[in-house]
Amino acid sequence: MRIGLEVHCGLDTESKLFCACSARPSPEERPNSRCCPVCLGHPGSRPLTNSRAVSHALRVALALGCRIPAELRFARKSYFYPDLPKNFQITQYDHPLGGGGTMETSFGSVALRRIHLEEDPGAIVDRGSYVLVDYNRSGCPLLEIVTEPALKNAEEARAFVDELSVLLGCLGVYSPERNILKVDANISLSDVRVEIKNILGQRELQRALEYEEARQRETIARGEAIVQETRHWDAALGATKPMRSKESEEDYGYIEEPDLVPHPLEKGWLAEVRKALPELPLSRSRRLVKQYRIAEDDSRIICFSGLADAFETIAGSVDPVLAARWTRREVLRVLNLRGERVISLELLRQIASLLALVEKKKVTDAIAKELLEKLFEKPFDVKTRVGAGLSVVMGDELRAVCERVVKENQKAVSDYQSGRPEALDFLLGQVMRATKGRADPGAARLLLKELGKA
Amino acid sequence: MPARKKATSKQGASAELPALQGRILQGEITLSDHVHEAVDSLRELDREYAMMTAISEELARSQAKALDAEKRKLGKDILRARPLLGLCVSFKDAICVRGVQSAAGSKALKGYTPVFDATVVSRLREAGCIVLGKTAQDEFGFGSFSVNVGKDFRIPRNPLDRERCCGGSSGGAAALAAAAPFPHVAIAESTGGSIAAPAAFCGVHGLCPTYGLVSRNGLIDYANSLDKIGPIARSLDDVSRVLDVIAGFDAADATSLQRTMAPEAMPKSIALVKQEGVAEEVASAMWDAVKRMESSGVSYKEVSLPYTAKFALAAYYIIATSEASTNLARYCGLRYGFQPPVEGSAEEHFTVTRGEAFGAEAKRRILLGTYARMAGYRSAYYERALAVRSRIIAEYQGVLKRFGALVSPAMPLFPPRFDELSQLTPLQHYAMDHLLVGPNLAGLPHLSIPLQARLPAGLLLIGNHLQEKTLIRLGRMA
Repeated sequence: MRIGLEVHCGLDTESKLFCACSARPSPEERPNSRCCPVCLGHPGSRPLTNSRAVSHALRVALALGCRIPAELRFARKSYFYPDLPKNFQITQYDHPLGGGGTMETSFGSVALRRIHLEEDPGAIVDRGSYVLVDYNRSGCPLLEIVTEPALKNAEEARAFVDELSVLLGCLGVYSPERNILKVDANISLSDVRVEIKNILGQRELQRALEYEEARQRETIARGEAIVQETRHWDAALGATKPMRSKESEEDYGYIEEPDLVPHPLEKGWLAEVRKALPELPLSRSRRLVKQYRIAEDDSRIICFSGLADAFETIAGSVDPVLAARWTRREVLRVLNLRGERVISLELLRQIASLLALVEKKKVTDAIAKELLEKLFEKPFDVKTRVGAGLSVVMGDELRAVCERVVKENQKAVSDYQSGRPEALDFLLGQVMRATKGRADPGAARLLLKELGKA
Repeated sequence: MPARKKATSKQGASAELPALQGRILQGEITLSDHVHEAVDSLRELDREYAMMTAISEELARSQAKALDAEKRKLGKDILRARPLLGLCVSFKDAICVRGVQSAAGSKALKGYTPVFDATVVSRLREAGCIVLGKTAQDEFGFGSFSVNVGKDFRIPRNPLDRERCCGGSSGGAAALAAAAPFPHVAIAESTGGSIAAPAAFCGVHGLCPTYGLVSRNGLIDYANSLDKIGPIARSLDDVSRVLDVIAGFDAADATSLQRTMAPEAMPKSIALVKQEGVAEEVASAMWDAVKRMESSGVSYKEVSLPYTAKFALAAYYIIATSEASTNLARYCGLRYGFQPPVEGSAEEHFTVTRGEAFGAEAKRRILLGTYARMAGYRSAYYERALAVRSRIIAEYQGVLKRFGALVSPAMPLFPPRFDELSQLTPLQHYAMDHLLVGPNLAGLPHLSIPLQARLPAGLLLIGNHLQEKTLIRLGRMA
């Protein structure tokens, strides 16, 4: 099986690609309030290229080792759709901003076909019996990154997009909070290619590809042929649906964009952009292995998951090998669980002091894991919580203590059950006494409430 | 129009604007009075010749009022800030004037009033010009005779003979330039000859500048890589005055040139382009003009441009229609312009809107252009036409290295009568442009000046890029 991806990613610029309108949505903006004659396609309006969007795209192209053409050129891609103000999209065709290239990932190199710049259409708002169009997004800069059919399965596809978004964030050209990330995928089990459109987000990508793989395998098992076609992903249904067959593939009738003259991409400019590139995940991973003597595997995953800054902060005060293991396994696990990618500086400080306690064996691994999850819910001061160098009793250990206290104090339990809340304080006092004050009082109170109900 | 004859004499026409400005400065007439009279006679002319698509009386009056107030304040100094004070200008319908219907002669944009002024409009207003309105044209510029006007639009008539066409596509502009009994310059637009052709047929001067010299910001596109805005006027002085104001870099148009016009030079020799199929009377009038130039010390030689003669027309129509078919896609009845009642899906609405909005020639060019850029034909047509265009530019530049300018008739015949035009096939219509598409494809400046003949005809002078001033100087000698 081979999978190729087309990733559309919004670029984090202040203004739109071809006009001065803001590219950044504000929280309570009205529909069609961030528009001008250019992004509404008024007759006589002219596009002007946003050079910040071009330098953002160049950063990506250079980071991915693409061939850069001598000139920046745009083309018109024609199709009729209500969200497209001019009924053509200004994009790139014959001369993409980046040709070829390779994306380094935690699971190896992925060959790229091209990357190019284009304008986003508006948004269709479905109202059931009719639709509305909001052009606020119209003209926002999009970067399209197209891979070769080089990915082996749905999981790799998902990891690719995850790591790509990390890379784009690290290059400072993309912000997950502000910019969209949409994926079209093509998948071929044999030599017939099926394209899947309309996939939002990495989780959906994996679902869609897994569904499509199963569908194609079943089709083949029934002795039927796979049809070359475009399907779209219906997330609510959890299925891909036919959209159009090869015969009815659209012909976009590309021509050069005659309102934008080819703009030379001067060597000096490229050199400047290249010089300002940050350390990329692969070379950072190599450096971390050398500098901190951590396992290569840990280092790769840390760097490609965007946790290198977090790791280096923690490793400043904790044994790097321990820090690497915990960052790669536990911190990543909690982040994935919560669907987050960002760790505040304060939180990092607390994680570091927690791991310092682990290092000194002042807390058990099991307790440290629980505390880590709690830290992500609501940061607290680890040292105060743990007490003067004492480990905190919680989890199964705490449950066992509580159960014993409940069993030995049946009188207080029945008092509590008959509506005397102060009996709970007595039970809690017994737990604190049994643990020499090392119990987590909040957790103990919850446990006692639970056990006392029966 | 008996009054017109007097105004035709060259000095007379050149002196019109300074004379008017003199009277304004002396206090003999206010701008408001002048505009009042101008609008009245414009309405009368329009009833007779249908050259206007909109008359912006309100805008003209408010401009006049503001300028009168400024004149009271500044006195004679106003001329320094407003060098074209009191000059009435009209704009081809495809040029956007804020708040005034700008429809490019198409039903698709009937009732559409732009929210911004084209750069040429704001520059001329700044210079003290009064905006009289919009002039008739072939729908989106699709024609050579101004008979392909949009549905519900009127065909402009030639002020020298009502039964003859004005030429196109800027027909209304040339007609008004010829007929206006007050100082006036028409701002027109040429894609493949739409300034020189009507100027020749209406017996006035038309200058199509170097591509990129005059900003296209605010021009409703026909074919962006070919469209040029330029003046049509009764005198070369007026052409030159207006050109000085509208030429020059505009940051709002990415194709606008940073460089400016070359200083005026006196060419020693010109090249006469050998042409087939030119009517005898037109050819002999052209020779008279060439002899006049020769007697002023400009030698001539006959040359041929074989590559251009063979391929320019085909390359022009492929590039122009390819671009046009994408430009016209936006007229779908969703955001502005003509909108029939919405029924059915978006696709159905687009189809109904476009079916009703566009005239036959617009539909023909959309089909041609769409075909030329489709996947299987793109390299055979669109891409090849771009390559041909580069070779045509090279052929012109080769000749222009040796000669100061190229000379030919602007149109091969006198303005046809409407009954004659209706006999022609679309291909014969397209072929009428054959003397003009070359310089238009090459982005070269060209000037049409009236020839002395039984009926109006034009002498075409083609110069190298940015040689407008030299062309104007040559034109004075012809």
